Amino acid sequence: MVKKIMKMSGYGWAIAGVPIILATFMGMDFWAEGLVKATGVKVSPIYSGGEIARSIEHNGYRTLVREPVFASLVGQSAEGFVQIDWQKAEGGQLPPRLEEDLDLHGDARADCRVSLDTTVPKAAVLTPPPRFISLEKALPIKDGVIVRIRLHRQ
Amino acid sequence: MRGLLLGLASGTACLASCAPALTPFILAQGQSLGHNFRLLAQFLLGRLAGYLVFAILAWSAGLALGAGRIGHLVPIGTVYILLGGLLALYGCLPARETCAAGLATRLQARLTGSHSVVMPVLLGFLTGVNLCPPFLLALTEAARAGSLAGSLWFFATFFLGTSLFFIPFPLAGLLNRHGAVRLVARLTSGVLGVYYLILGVSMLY
Amino acid sequence: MSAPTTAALSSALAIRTPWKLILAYLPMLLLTAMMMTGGRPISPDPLEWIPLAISFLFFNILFFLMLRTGFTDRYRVILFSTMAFLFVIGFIANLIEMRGSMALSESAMAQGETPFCHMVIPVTLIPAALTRTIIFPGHLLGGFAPIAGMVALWIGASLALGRGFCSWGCFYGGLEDGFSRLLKKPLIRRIGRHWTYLPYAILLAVVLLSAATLSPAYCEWLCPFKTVTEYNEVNNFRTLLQAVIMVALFAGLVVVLPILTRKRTQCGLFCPFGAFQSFTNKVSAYDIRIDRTKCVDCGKCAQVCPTFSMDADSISRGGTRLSCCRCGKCVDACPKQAISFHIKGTEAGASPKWSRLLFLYPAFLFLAVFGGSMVQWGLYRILLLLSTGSMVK
Repeated sequence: MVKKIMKMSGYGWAIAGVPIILATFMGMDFWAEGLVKATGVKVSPIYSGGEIARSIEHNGYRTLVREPVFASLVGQSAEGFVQIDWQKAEGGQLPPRLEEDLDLHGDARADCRVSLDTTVPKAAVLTPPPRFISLEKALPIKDGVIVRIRLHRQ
Repeated sequence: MRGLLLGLASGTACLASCAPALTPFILAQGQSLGHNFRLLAQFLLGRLAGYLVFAILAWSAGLALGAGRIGHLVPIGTVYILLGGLLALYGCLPARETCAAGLATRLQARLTGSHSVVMPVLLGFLTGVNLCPPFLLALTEAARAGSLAGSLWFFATFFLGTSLFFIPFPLAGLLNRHGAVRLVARLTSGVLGVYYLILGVSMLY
Repeated sequence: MSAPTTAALSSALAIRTPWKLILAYLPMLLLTAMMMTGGRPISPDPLEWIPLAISFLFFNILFFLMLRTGFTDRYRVILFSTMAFLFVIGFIANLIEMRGSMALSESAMAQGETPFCHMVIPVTLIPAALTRTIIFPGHLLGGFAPIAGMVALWIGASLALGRGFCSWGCFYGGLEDGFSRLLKKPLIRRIGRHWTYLPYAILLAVVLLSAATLSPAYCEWLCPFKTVTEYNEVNNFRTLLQAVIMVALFAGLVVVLPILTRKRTQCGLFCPFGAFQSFTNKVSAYDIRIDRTKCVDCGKCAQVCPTFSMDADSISRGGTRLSCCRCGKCVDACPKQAISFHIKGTEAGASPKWSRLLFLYPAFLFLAVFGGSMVQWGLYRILLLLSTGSMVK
């Protein structure tokens, strides 16, 4: 009896091979969305830069200040960064050079002052924020420039 | 977390090197699964004692050399190269040549009929103070911790990470695959050694 | 019945009766027609319909030959290697068209433009479980090679094929499978058995390192296939070192050693994804069995196995090691027809033709759809080159 069940199960699973392959390809987008919804995963903020915390509108562009990232496998790491995006607004342009006071922690107080040459691009910290480590090099992206300010957590 | 992960990463080296000496001892002594687990607990206690002794030594070294200077990139790169090279070599050497527990096992063999708790604890202490490459790497990291509490905590978590690999030992069923597990563990320590070596080289520039 | 050899025109698994052959063949013809066109009308653009037609014919002619002759691996490798080489052509041309270079810049990574491939999956699991984030600079959904899409594909392939993915789907494995067929006889015959455990060691090492550093350690330091796909822009000593390692590993493990040993040395002695995928063999319905009543212990199967999955131990047990990729080379090579594809739960050696067919259908279908798209992609670029003088628009 057990042998018969094993045999039927074996053949059943083997025959299911083709439907599984068909379902995989035909429903790939569906399965992918389902996986993301079921697991709630996101791309690590180490790579995505973190969620957008604040958006400041300027003339022709906007400054996006992202949430601080202190990613670690468990808990938080001792060092991290805050990513700033300078993005062209629709129909707008980034100025060739800008200086801006930035509130990194959302407490309505300027934590640092940064200058940015958007043509190169190249950034510099004029007034460092508390627990400042370093400024990573500015990177050009599709609609603007991003910069990461490295900080100690405490 | 770093201590725990370093322990997890390096535990395979401990497993690979110490298993040939430890397994016969534990299994020769034990008559039941419960007895084997008691032996393991005594052994791990000895290892923890050894690690904490070295935690204190590491903290003292950090004080003497200065945590800031220890954290300097170039010396750390050099340490990584030396230790990575040793670990890579460690992964290639026959296991019996590299573990201090071999000496303890030979001593124990002379004490026939001994069921003293001293032996497994001593065995554990000897493996705990064995200056194997992952241990030396842990020493370096703990010396950078900057405080005695930090150093002790680092070694405690390092101990926990390495100890997880010893837990299945008393389970007799694992014996069948023991050879493959040991081989994979030894090769893993070699791979990690190569990684530390390359990381050390990249830190120099 | 006389024992056929590998030089024979057909094996005992051949389907010779015409109506049985048509019955076995026709469903695949229909399935591939449906899946390759995506159920959409065929484009009148020659740059699209010519690659589609060539792929369709190429795959289906070889499937017919698989059924008619009973040989699996000799036709599989043609498709598998062609897929891999054309994938490289299509992928590189696509990168150059998209961003002007094979090199992956920090800007591209920051914008999540890195295509995700299956090799990264093992190292992302622990961080994903503990932090609910994917440690890879790609995008989850939409676009080219999204993370979730590739994971979904991998799950489906693993459920159906187990490590058969490595012989019927992996677009990297085809490169060394192709190189391993160049010489008639191996120049290096003996490789220590302990090296076959290295992939598991590398798997453990990269999984631990990736969890500790929250970055895909395998991609950064060890992947040889970046040489023919994309790699970090070389702009400092660290990235230069990574580039040197990747080229050395590709040259050694993917080109030179497969040629000299006639084995898939990257797959069998290095690939951590392959080691990880070996465990999915436990889930798959199929395996390879040796009928010990027919086996004469000639060792031919162990000689020809490209991934070191046959040895004296496994042969005496009547099967393969966990690393078996279901390529079918041992089945083709056995002079006594003692080796066959087998459905788990059934008797070993029972209905070998039927068991083989049950395996071939999902395996070949996966190869035809997944691999077929890469063949079309590569052919499109070649036709573009022939018609316009450039592989990129």
